[in-house]
Amino acid sequence: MLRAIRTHRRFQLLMGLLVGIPFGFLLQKGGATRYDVIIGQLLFTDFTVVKIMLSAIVVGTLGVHALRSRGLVQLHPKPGSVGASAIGSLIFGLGFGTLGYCPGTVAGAVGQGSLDALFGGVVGIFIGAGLFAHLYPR
Amino acid sequence: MEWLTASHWSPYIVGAGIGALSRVTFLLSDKPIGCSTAFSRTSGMIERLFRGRRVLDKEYYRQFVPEIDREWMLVVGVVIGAFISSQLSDDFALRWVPETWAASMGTSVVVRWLVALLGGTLMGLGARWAGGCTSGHGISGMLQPAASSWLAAMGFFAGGIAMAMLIFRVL
Repeated sequence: MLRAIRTHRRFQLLMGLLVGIPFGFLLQKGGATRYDVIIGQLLFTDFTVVKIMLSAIVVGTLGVHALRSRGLVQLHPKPGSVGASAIGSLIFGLGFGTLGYCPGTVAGAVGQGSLDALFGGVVGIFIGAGLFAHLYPR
Repeated sequence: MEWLTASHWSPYIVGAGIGALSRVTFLLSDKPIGCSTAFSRTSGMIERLFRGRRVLDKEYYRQFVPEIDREWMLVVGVVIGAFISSQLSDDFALRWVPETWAASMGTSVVVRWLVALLGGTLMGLGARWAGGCTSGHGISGMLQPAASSWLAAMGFFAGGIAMAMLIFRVL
């Protein structure tokens, strides 16, 4: 049953939408789609982002491990070397501080009408991701 | 139904909701929630419009085929969900320059646009280099927990804090 659902392409596309809509809704309600809130976190004047992330991690950890202990899910740790994770994440961080949104919240910011997120953030991420595809696997 | 039109929800409620969405995605899609791969696929789709099918031969796009997948739909969903939320609370506004930025860097649209473009480019490059973003590594990776994701999350914030401090405390 689960296997059939997980491999059903059209159902999975729908799943993306059905998870994405509440995800974006929650990010916007939480304030995480606002530049001011994200920069406030990086300047340690507003701890909204860390509160959201930590509660998501706590609830997610409990849920996923409960499913795992019943044999319903497997974990999917991301592959990748220590070097790539360290260098990539620092470059990401410099961009994160410059843009003031991340790839998820930039999409939410577009939804609330932030034009710097759309014409700067989204377009920039396309350029950066495209650059990486050109550099890869060197 | 006042809670639907409120412009702020408790970050703990929001976080718990995202944790629940992560659980549903693990169960029904056998995948962690992530966002940045969708940007990479779209970038490949756009490049394909200009350069044709040979884009698909690139090593990277063989692994991450430029096509619409579940995660791509998820990012579209995020735009829609945030749109609905901001409409309900009357927060929706077409805005170029965020308040915090305007207060110290001025109200120029061009300056904010160029800086955002540069930031986005660095972030797109870094997200693919690290193999994930604040969702894929930061939430999904940390909740498993995966060592590479904890390392990446520290890097995201270290770089972000350094840049935000440079822009707002030094410049």
